[in-house]
Amino acid sequence: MTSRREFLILLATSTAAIATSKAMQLPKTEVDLSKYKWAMVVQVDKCTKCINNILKKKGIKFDELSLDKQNELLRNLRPPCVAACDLANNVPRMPNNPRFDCYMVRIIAAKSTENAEWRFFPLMCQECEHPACVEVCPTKASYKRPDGIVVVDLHRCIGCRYCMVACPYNARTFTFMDPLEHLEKINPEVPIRKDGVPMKCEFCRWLIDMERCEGVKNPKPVCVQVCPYDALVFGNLKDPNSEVSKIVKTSKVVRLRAGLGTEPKVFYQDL
Amino acid sequence: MVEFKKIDGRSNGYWLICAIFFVLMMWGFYAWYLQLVYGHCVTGLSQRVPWGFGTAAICYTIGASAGSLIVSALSGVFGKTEFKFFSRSACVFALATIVAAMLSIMQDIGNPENALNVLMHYNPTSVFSWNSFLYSSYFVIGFVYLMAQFGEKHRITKALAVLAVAWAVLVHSGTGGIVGFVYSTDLYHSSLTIPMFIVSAIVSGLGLLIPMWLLTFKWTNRPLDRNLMWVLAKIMGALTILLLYCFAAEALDTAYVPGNAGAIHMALFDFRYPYAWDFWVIQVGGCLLTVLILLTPWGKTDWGMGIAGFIVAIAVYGERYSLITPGLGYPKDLVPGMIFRPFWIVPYYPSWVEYAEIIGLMSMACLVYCIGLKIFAILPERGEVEEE
Amino acid sequence: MYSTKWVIAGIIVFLVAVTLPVWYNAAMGEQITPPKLVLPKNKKHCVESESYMISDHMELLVKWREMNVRKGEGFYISKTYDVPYKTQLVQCFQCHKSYDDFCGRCHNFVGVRPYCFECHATPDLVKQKGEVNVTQLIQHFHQMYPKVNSTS
Repeated sequence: MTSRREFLILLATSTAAIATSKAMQLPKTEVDLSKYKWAMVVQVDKCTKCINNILKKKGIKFDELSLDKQNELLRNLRPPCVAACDLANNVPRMPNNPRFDCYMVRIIAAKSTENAEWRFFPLMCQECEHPACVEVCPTKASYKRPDGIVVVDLHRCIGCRYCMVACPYNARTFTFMDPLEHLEKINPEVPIRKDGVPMKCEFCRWLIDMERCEGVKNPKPVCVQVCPYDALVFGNLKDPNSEVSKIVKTSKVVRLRAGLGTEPKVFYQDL
Repeated sequence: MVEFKKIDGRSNGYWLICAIFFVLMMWGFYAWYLQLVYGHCVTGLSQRVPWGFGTAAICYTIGASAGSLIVSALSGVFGKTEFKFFSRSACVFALATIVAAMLSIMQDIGNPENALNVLMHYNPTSVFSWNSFLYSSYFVIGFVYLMAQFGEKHRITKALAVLAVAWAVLVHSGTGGIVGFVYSTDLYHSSLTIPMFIVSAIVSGLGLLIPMWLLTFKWTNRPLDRNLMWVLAKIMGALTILLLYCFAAEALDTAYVPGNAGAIHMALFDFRYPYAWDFWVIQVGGCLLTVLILLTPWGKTDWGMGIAGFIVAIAVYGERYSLITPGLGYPKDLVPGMIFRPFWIVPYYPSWVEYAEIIGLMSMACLVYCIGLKIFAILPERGEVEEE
Repeated sequence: MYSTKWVIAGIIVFLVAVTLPVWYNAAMGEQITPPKLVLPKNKKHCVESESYMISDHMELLVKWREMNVRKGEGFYISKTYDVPYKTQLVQCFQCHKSYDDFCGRCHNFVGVRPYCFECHATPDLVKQKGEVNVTQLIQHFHQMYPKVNSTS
């Protein structure tokens, strides 16, 4: 709906435009989100190689550590994807305070049997097709966009933390205190957030939205861009020629906790 | 006819009780103020256990309210006119506790200035959203029911009593659904949660009301029929046994799945964490102790019934706590079928702020009840069945 | 009427209390002057006409918020000037380089505290803390962690 004032502006401008017959030069703003279905493939082989290299440089043998040390190491591990994400998305990291430490991406180590070798991969919001957090949000602050990204609208959020409890992946963290004092630098394009709201990975929505509207063909989140091994592949599932679609079609990919029926859009190759 | 009469409320004892409740209430509000200023870091919560004592307080206060309203409607629904003595005071207490429940929601959420969004943006799939409508309508129905009782309109009262019981059950089912429908952890997802919530609501409502009535009638020097209290205490005891049965059924059901072995071991048998202590000492121990007290001859005395009620009221709080926290304290099965790290169990200990908040809110409900006794005629002059 | 005296006295006290600022200013002889704003140089116009921006900038920002957060529309096309603008608060701060010298002066004058800046960083805060520029950040990471050949 347009208000009266806006209507007057429209009227004035349209007459002005006709009078001057100004040619309109506007960027191609793509607003039809339903053309897209963003998805990510994590190539676990490459991730494992990257983390193993980091551990080798530090001289740490992950298998020989105690459980507590392993937890602490993984919590403080900052491969390029995690480090860049923290800076770009204003994530207040508190390495010394695991209780309140906020994260968007974190590194998980997994192995299928006791004797197997550890495999490492990042775990972020899985951008589910049927997200539990959207199901339970009492205010529709968390909602799924037509292009599949689950967005938290902090303007609406009441901070009930129901989404954190409902999320099967522990993808969300909560700002237990004013995040400002834990930020080294600020990216002005992303909110710094206040205390009492959740945060999660949104595939760098602020970045890929702008690039999509500017007409960039393959917008990519920050973690994908900085990965030295190109282990993260990001793209549009609805485009059959995108790299993501090809990998999903031809190789062996798994989705985490698929049994719950949340249908994540982050795929893990060779897990 | 039952004669209701205001209490005098001028004695030193009355003012002392009010003053104690007021001080406790202000303590709770001070804790809330600290939480608003510094954020939720003053509580014992963490990223892994974002729900804890405060959420248990919400479930508990709503349960106590629903239970009280069901007790209040006993006379109307079942035609037991002898329970009419209690219906007004129980209804006032139910309304006071539902206000406390609303406030405890406001205390628990991180962004209370946005709280009205719950009513503005309705999400039909969210149990919390259903509850936002159930809670507000529940308050209205309870209020109208109380007004009808004051007006001595018997037929309307009876109809409203039936509606109030139905609504109380619905409201508390909704509260149970908040926890019971969550499928991210196996300790949460249980269809038994909802019926168990109703049973424990009535138990905790009676558990709070019995000692309260005993003390009120004693301190106002009004006669009270002990047989009536004993009937209520017997209902409470029977439902407590039912509650114990539900605990056993749910624990065995969860433990039967091999994949849940780690979680159930932590929740029930690992005494390094607070969860097992809470389960065995407060929840199961409190319920067993209540049943035992009521089985002995001492259970029929004032002290016996009062203490049993008080213990079971705390035991139900323990139940709410152990419904909510162990499921979060044990890591979620992020990578099913694999051994994964980071993997650590988070012990959750509530901070004094969380204790202060719930104690303050319950004190507020009691303070409202005390003031209500003075300005409204909610207490019968004689708590006895008149012989005809 | 009950206690007429008290009621009338109360009404008088209430009226005096409400109009106190007027009396105070009249007595002190202060003239109310609107705040002076630091306007950006070399810019011809704002997003919409000046009068609209002065009176309705908050409505425009709420509209941008809906466009950006709920609909995923990155650009707003000015109805007065046919120019695209990013639907972000950052867009405002590209010309108005400081919150305190522009927005804050008016907000303080009329005594409003918009809650936008509880979560969004003002340029003053960004300057104080240090800014992250995404393109520079990514370049920096490319230098620090050069691409590894996938074949090796």
